Formats: sequence, C-alpha cells, structure tokens
Amino acid sequence: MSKQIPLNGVSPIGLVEQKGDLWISDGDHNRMIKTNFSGKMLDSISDFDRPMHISNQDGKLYIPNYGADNIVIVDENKKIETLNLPDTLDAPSGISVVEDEIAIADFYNHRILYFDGAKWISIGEEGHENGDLYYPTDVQIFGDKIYVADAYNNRLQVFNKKGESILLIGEEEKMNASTGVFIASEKELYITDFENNKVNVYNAKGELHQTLSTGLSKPIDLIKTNNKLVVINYKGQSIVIYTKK
Amino acid sequence: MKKIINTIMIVSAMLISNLGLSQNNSKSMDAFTVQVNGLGCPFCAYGLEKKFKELDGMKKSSIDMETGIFTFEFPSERKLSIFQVQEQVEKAGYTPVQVEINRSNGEVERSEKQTALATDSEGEVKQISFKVEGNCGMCKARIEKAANSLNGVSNALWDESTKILNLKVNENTFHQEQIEAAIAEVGHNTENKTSTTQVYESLPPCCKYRK
Repeated sequence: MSKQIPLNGVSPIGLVEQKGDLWISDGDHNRMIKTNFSGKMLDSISDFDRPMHISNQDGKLYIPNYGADNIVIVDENKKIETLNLPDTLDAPSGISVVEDEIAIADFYNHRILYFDGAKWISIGEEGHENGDLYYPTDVQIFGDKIYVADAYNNRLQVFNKKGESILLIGEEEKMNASTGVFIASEKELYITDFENNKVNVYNAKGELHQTLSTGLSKPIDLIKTNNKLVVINYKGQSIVIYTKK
Repeated sequence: MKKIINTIMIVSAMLISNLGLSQNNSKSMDAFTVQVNGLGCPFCAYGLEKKFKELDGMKKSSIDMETGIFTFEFPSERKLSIFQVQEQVEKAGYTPVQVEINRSNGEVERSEKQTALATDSEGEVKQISFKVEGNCGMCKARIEKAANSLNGVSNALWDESTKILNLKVNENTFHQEQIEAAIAEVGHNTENKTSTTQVYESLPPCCKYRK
C-alpha cells in the first residue's frame, strides 16, 4: 500500500529522518528543508551548493555540496562548519556517518573515501569490473560493510572495510542509474532505479525479493523507518510512503 | 542656512554617487540564458553548471530541469561570446538549443535556434530506421540533433527503449552511412559506425552506454 505526498517546489535528492521528521536536500534550490511525514514544511536552511545524499548523527546533518566539492556539517543550532578531508573531492554526491566512521561518494573521481576512525582509504576506481565504480551517487555504512549505489554501473556494490568488493547486486535487473541506497538490515537492501521509476529490494545474497513502482517518478533516495518505506521522487517532487498490507 | 544647503548638497552628491556605483556594479555583469536539450538527471545537470564554473567568474546560476533553461551571470569585461557558451555546453556533453545574452550595456545577442532543417524539395524522400546506442533523454537530444542538422534529413526521432532512430532522408543528399557517421561523431555507436573513445568519454555520466 502506498501514499503519495506532494512536495511542491522542491526537487528532492537526499533524505534522513531526525526526531520524527524528515530533512530533505533540495538540489535545484540549494537548500535543506525539514518536513513532517505529511509533507508540511517545518524549516529550511539555504545557501548550499547543490546538496546531495545526506547523513545525520547526534543531531548533526552531514551535507555533500556537489557544486562546491566539500562536506558541510550543520548542528541543531544551524551552526555550519566544513568537514576536513585528506584529499580533494570532485562533486561529492553522498555521505554516510556512523559513530566515528565516514564514507563519501566522490562522483567524478569514481571512488568512495572511507574513514575508519583512524585513517582514510580510497575505495574503487573508474571502471566496470568487480571493485570498480562508475559515478557512485550514494553510500551507506552498515555493520561491517559499505554499500555503494554504483549508479552508472547500474548496480549496488558491497565492500568490506578494507575496500575489497564482496558482492555485486542488481546486474540482472538492468537498472538504469541506481542512485540511492538504504540498508534496513543485512537481509533487507533497497536501491532506487532512477530512470526506470522503480525501487528494488534484495536479500543478503543479492537476490531480488521485490520491485516497487507505484507512484514513483525518478526515485532518487529512500529510508525505512517504523515499518514504513519512504521514497523521494526527484521529478515527481513528492514523497511516497509504502506500508505493508 | 548656507551650511545646511552645503550639507544637503554633499549628502545628495554622496547618494547620487552611491546610486551610480550600485548601478555600475549591477551593470558590470552580462546575463546569459541557455536552452539545453534533454536535461534529465540532477547529477548531469549540475555537472553542466560545474563545467561553467571552470570559466571562473560565473554568478547566480540556476537550472530549470523542466524547461532545460540554464541561466547565469558573467563579468561583462570578459565578453563571453555565444560561440564560447555553445562550445562549453557541448564540451560538457550537452546539446545547446539557443543562447541569449543580455549585455550590461543593454545590447541583446541571440543565437539561431537549432532545430530540424527542412528536407530538400528535390529528390525522393525515404523513411529509414537503424539502431543507435544510448541511454537517456540527453542521448535522445544529441542523436536527433546530429541527424536533423544534416541538410536533407528531417523528423529524426530516437526511441529510448528500442534504441531505434527513425528519420526521413532525401536520398539525393545523404545515404544512411553518412548519417550514421554524423551520429557516431557525437558519441553514439550505430549499426555500422563506432564512436571514438575520446568523444565517448566526453559524454555526461548518464549517457555512458558502453559496459
């Protein structure tokens, strides 16, 4: 069962849940907006430079500025600082922050920059083979793995924390731009198929479990919370909430 | 009284001077409106904007994905031309339709709208179709423009799902092989022609069809 909530005038790209509400990056309008699950706008912050797939931890939002090649951190008082990085980014498109670990999707450099709490490593290089990446757009650290939306290889790629590729998912489905990833559990992996207007759900082995398409129009990111799957439509300018029948 | 008048005159002069300055400041930028065909995904569209940032000096940029309109301001003294804008758009792998420049001195420059050319009246017009590799709306814009830009070719329409290009061609003017060559030149493999690696690599991410 699904419910569609319009986000008029918003071109959503990334979303996270924070204290029962949603923060959404609005790439076309260089801002972050806060809404509730009914789509009511509660707050907004401006002056970003093409904000992308975001992350949050301890009340702080981590926002990749695709146009400015940096990551900014916004705290609950809207104080903004820039994340120090060991290397230059070229269009950061996604970030995941879990405790003291950080993973960044570095779009035009075809890699993930990963910080394990002590040191940074670079994962992947441009290409189409196992371990290669081709314009990654989103990333999520979960457990002992790093899940990458390997967007223009049209797959979800799973790495261990040494940066070794351990699983390729979704190549059979002929996705066209796999842009957003969300890992609900090791057995429940979600990926958006942007151009085909779908969301694919996989199990831990990478076997397709379900495909969703109702109400989707260029889906670009998603989260699962309280048994609801929340998907944002970039072109459709809306939120779609799926609940189990 | 004289002192008051002097004070008023000085303040007025300062106000006029400041006004003049602000007018000069606002007039020191040229305004550009670029219509681009086939903008589809934000990653590629914002990539176009990044390409123009390389020119150093771009301000107030915005992209309307629905209309394909990209607007920005650029310092007047740099005299960025229509040709340079078109070249930068194409370098980023996109297809410019029309460029309009509103210069700070009030002059307006506008490029010819790049649309399909009429088929030559003489000679037999034949409908042909062949396969062209590509992925998305941006590919569609680029493929159709490459075909329609040839005098004697019209109504080029590429289907994203079947990858088939349909068009009308005056047989006296062009043969299929030449049309395929023109399409391969902009980055898309056809049944009989292969694009060079250099051109292919310049395509935006969402247009990269080789695996």
